[in-house]
Amino acid sequence: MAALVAVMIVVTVLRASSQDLVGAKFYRVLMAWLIFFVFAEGTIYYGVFKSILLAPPTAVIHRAMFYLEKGYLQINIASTMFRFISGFFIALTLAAPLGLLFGVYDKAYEWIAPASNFLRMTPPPAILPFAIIVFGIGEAPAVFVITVGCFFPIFLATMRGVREVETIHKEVVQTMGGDQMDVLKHVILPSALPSVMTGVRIGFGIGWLVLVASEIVAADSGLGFMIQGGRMRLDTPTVFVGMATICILGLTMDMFLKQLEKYVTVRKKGGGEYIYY
Amino acid sequence: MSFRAKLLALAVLIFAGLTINFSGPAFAGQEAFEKSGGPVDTWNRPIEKEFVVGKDIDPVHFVIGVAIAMVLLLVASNTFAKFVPVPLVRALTSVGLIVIVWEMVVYYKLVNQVLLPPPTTVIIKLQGHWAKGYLQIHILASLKRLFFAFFLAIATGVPLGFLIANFRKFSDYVDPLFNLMRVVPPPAWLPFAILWFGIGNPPSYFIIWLGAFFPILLNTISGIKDTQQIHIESIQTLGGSRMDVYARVMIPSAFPTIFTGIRIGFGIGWICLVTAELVAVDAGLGWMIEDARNLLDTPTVLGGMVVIMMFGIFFDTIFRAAEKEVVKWQ
Repeated sequence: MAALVAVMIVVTVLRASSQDLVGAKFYRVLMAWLIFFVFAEGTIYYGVFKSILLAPPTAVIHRAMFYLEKGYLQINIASTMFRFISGFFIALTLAAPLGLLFGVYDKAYEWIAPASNFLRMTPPPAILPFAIIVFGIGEAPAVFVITVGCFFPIFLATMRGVREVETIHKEVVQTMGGDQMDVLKHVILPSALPSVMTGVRIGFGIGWLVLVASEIVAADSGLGFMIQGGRMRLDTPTVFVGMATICILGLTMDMFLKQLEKYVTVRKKGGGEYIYY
Repeated sequence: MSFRAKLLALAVLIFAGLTINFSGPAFAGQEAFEKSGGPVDTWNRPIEKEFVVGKDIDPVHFVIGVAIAMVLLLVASNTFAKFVPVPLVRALTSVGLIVIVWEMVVYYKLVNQVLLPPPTTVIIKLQGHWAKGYLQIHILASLKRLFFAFFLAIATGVPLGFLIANFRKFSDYVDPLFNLMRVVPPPAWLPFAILWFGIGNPPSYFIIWLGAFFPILLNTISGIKDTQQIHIESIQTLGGSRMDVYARVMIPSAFPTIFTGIRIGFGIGWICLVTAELVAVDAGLGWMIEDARNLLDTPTVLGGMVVIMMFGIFFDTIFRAAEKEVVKWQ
């Protein structure tokens, strides 16, 4: 803590001595973080809060190192990621082709879209108790609920993307003598792809939220389970280690998806085609 | 209705929502219900009955009735196309089809009845819960909780977003902390919230607030930052003060974006409500289905899901209609 306060003082002095060395924004952001850490550390140290209510950062780091050493954190991360990735990819492999199919055929779209708008409104966690009855505690209910949570955003976005393809583009290919497959391959897929990616990112957000919820309720391993266990043992540092890990994993995957989205949706210069094929 | 009147009405609504939660009984009939001797604790579960397929409703009649209703609906939508919204009819028909298939699958014993009770059993169960007042208690508990936290999220999110968008210094200090809170999904805060606030309403308020707050905050910020500079400058040229810029230019022009944030926030708050109720409370629809799950009372689980879904659809429809009204001038 003394080190943090020292850094604060040094940075302030540096800023006072020359405005150019430390930018205003950088200074304020750094100060906000430092104040936060000093607050968390100091309130526990001087007994303002009980130590079960707020864990000091040093204790959290200490606990994280301990778990890493024992391999406990790695096991939980592995089972969380396994669950999430399997649920997410099941949803993707179901939702994208189905969305494409129902988007292409007008009649199918007119009947499916209103019903799926209805079904979408069930919050995924509400399916959890039912999934537990059917599948029991463990991997299956969590994977099922994550699949449901990711399915509708991807499905609806794909359908919307396919529906919004401009008719004139399709007609151009048909005029050139292309058949139905050519239209699908050269027009519908490339122009629907950005919309699909948007759906994938929304689905990712909801799936990640649902994952944690289902692990808190229905799992016997994973980060959500670890947090809940920490809560039950009044072991606040563990709760914070779990939250920080979830936060870091979520941020990493979101950054990855953002890059993928950029890569997929960038147009080739001049060619008017997409890079990906 | 002028814009200012709408804004005023919204503000009154928000503060009414906040105050109602702290006053009066849970619902209108509660006192009378208590006086009549019926205990109003949520542990007053209805007595378990053995459930048998089609004990009170004949499944064959039920399927035929649903089919007839579907046909009538389709005929009506073809005949009175102007008065019956087509998407609604199609959605209802698809749902009817699902219900028929579901009923028949159970009737012909293709699946285990305990795992998937048929719609008739679910309806009988829900009707029983409604008659005992059990369902109403949970619906009201959920709605009170949802609206309190949701209005709190509006009351904090919009002013904070306004401050962050307008004052650089403030935003530089506050942004890192909000970013830190934003990237942790709300359910992950749940154990922490229980540590802080105990079991009951406060942790669920916190979780729902967290879910609804960030969409509202971010949309407010982007709405206010997107205000066209020329509008601000023109009002300044006409001699408007700083307050005029805020009240007459920024807030009206950001209002549609803010409203979109409110709608998205409500959707996420709705998910968070159910999550919080599965873990941290002792009443509410989420608690009802979790409790029924513990008792292996599958009809109530499915019935609760249907009720939750219907409320979700209801609120979503209202918010979309209101949003259309708000952005009409754009």
